[in-house]
Amino acid sequence: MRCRKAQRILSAGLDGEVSGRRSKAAGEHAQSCSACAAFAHDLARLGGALQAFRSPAPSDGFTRRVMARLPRRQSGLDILQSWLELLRPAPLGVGVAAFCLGVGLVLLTGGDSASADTGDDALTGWTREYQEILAEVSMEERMLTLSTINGGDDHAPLAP
Amino acid sequence: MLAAGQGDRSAFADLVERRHHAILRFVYRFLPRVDRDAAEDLAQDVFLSAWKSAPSYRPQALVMTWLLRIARNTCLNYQRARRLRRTESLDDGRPEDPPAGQVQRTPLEAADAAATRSERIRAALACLPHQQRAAVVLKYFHDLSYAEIADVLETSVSGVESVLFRARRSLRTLLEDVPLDS
Repeated sequence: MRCRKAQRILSAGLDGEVSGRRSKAAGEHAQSCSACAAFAHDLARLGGALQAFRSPAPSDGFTRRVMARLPRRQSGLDILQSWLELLRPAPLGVGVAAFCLGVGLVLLTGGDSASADTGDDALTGWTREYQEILAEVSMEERMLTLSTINGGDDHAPLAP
Repeated sequence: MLAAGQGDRSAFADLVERRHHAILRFVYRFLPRVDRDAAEDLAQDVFLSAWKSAPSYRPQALVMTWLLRIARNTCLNYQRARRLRRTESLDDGRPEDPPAGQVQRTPLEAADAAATRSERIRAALACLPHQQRAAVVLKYFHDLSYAEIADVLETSVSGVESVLFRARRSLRTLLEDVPLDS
């Protein structure tokens, strides 16, 4: 094994990231190579030396300062809350506006109220279609019943 | 983290509270030339970027490696901007570093003057290319596995092995005259 390869394995072995077979081969090489043995020795001490490099502790209020700098993110709830915030300073205005809106709706729909009460106008489009289909089906059934009475001849004139 | 992604500010505040020490540690060691205040400003920037990117966070990544990746990118952007500013100031004929005739000292030589062991190590780290420096910081100060380091550095596990090996060889040379025993 070449020194460079052995040293690379020794480096990774120090971190426990090498399989047993590779580690064993590099270890055997280091036993017979003084340069690689010195390398392994220095690496083991390097870790201890690096611990001497201290870093400062964060100052008080770090989290508060970060939170103060965060931009607002607009979610659905945020939008609703912002609307409520807008409405909060003028509850009287909101009440007047709601009253005017209600009166306007009554005036707009008031003229049609009679027809709105009738069943036909109350029906939506698809309900009306459904009723028409039902009517056609019952008409066909009625014709079938009459033809049976007249002897099953489809071409025979229908009884009045 | 997922709650923070949906705009939950109190969940994000918890995250900042739990992780800010580690992020500051990373910034301070990854950028050996910044002082404490600048490191703290950058750590704040890291969390601002995290807040903006939170909706795209996927639980497959560990929160810590995800934050460290943002921290590394923030530091690299800072370095690039600083280098650009320095180039511009030199173009303007306003040298910000030593006057003409004076030999510019390497970070290691500058640290010799101070002669404290911690500063020698800091200066040695400053001499490493950024990928090697990040790998050393993540291994020695954050105790990440090679797979986690690969995730932060956006490289392969064998790439991490190679980078760490080269970094250690360089550090061994740079700290040759410093007693390594703690």
